Amino acid sequence: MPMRKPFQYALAPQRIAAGQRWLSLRLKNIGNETLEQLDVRLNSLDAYSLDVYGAGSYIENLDPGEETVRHYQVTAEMTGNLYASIDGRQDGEPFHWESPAIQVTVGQQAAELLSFFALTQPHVLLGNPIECEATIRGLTTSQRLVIEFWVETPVRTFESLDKQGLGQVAADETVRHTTQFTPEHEGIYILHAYLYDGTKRIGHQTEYLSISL
Amino acid sequence: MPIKYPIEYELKPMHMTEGRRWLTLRIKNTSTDDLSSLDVRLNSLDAYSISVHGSGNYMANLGPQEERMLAFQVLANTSSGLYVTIDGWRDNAPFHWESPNILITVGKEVAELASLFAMTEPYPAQNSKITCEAVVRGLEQSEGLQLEFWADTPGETLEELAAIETKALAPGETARYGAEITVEKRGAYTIYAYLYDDFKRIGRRTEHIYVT
Repeated sequence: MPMRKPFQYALAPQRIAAGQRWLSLRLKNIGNETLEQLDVRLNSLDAYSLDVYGAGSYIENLDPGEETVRHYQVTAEMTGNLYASIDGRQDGEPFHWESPAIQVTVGQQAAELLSFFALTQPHVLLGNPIECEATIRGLTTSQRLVIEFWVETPVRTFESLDKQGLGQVAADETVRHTTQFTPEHEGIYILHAYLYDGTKRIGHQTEYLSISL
Repeated sequence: MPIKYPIEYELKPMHMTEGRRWLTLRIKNTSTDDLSSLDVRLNSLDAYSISVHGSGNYMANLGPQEERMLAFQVLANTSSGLYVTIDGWRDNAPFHWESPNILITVGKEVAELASLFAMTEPYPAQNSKITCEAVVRGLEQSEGLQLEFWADTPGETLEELAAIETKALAPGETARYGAEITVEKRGAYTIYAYLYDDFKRIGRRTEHIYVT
């Protein structure tokens, strides 16, 4: 099981079909102290993709070496990320703990958006063109994939940069698609890549850039 | 109101106190087509910070230039992003629409984690040393916040890179903090920065790199 002190944790299953499903979170106290009043939650990092029901789970005590399993019902629409958080008391003092993001794969998507990067250092001079690259991997053979790039600017506009059909992408084939834009304002830009299978959005990633004079 | 064709949208309020609160979403159909069978949802990008109750709103029809107000109840803990999705039919074809992220600030935090960047091109070479930079911005007078850097590695280990106590910050003042990592394995790394005020996590940012 992965660990981040004072917990070992595991979420299972990590592959589910779309719909209402159950996930189990296994937790083990690997510290030397009893942990008390634990508010154990499973949190979505995109509730459109995966939505977790309920207010979480309560554990009064978890002794050193003790293990427990908690169950959470989710509505699964597409592959997404969750993380576990625990708020409680250790040695009389409050503490907060959280796991890194845990990907849960949902259904049999046609493809996945593997990565999205601006091909530059993160601090960029104003007026320099920037190339963005999305990497898509086919999971089944598909002919309906579309990639879109958008940008949120420091002046609060949301602009489409590019929209492109990807043609036929076979299972396990990797496709890279790039686009270019030139920032016109100082500040933080948020770039978005969206992957669609027909009209269904099956992937979304963001990238941040800081633009200065 | 911001616009992403064919929807004009506005979410209010954009600042709230902690607890169970209501948000209203105003949407307007700016196209010349009828939109029908609309599933309108407000989605959290971090449900620990803000969770949205219920499964959304349904609208049988939204005519051209028609505007509607929808209410959503949320449980607000700390500042975070939300976005709106609409799935429905337009001109006898299904469509999906979504807004960009909408930042909702919650309560009166003393500082915010303004950014996290890995100071590299996105595909660094194996064994290179990379500096990660976080910017903390003061919102109130603050001192001694805890800033942590972590890395989730391709070897599926979670490594603590640094734990830093922040210096005194006045409202509006920013401070940069760094941590270094030597990327020893090929594959995807996720870098995390967490900002804590005592035991309360008030900021969380991630950055991705792919080591070749």
